[in-house]
Amino acid sequence: MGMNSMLKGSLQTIILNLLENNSQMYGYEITQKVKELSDGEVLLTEGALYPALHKLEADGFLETFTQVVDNRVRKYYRLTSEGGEEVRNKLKETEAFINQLQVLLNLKPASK
Amino acid sequence: MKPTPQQTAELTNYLKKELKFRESFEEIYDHILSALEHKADDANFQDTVNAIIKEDFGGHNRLPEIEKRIATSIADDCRRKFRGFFVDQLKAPSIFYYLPIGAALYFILDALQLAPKAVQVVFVLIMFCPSFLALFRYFKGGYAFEDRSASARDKVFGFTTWLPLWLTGGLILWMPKLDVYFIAHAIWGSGSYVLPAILLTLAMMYNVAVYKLYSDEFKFAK
Repeated sequence: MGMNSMLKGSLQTIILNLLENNSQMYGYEITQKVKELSDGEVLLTEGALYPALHKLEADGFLETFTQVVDNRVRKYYRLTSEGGEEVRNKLKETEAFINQLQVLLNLKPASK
Repeated sequence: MKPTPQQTAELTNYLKKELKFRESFEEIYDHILSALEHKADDANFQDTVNAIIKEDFGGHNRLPEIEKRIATSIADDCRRKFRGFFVDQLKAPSIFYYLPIGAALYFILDALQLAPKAVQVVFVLIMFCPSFLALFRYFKGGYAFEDRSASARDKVFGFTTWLPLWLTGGLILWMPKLDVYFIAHAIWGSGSYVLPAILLTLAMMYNVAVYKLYSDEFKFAK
């Protein structure tokens, strides 16, 4: 199982966290940011990104607005106040999950 | 890489054939063109587009499935917003505007002593408003988005249009029987306009919710 499949369940958390740190982003920008932050290790492929973005929007965690760039419509996403709350909950859950994994698998925290 | 106008037109035609809805087209089209900006100028256009679709969307055959998931989420979002627009009017502070409106309707109906049939006609007219708005939405959509493709929101707008028509149709069919009951219990006619005033206020709230949903779609149109 590759890193991408293991991260599939955390896609929403990744998106929400990116938007908390970058205020507003569009789809392609998100894929590139994930690639950059993970040194090319994590690629948002198989079209998982857009359905996840729209799901977060439908759940009320994201809101959108559009801008015309080079004569085409670009859709930007940003966090709603509920989304801001959700990102904090998701980060807490993820932290607890990683701590449990470290204990269960006897892993040492990653160092860079 | 900066695609030529002909290459851009080719990509547009291809995506229009593969994707049914305006929203998914706009997003995938922008994604591919944004990705192309970071590719080498001398690369083959078609091969590069194929590679982007394979890398970022899992291949050409996955586009319809991705679109279906996008459309489902957009429709869910649309339903959530519509519910919100309607329910919010039943809460403070909006309800404090509707209470005097409802009371004013009651006093106007009472002062005019309108026949139940006349009240029904007013109600039917109000319930037809979402249908007119839906027609205008189709008309305006073509200009505002410069695209006549279907929208993932169409289904929800269809529902908001048909629901009041079904209710009105049901009301017309059942009215002769309801009339007898309502008049017998002094709910309707015989100088009592409480129920008509409540129904007209709710119909007004419904129309406001449909209008807000309509405005929300065009909020960021060009």
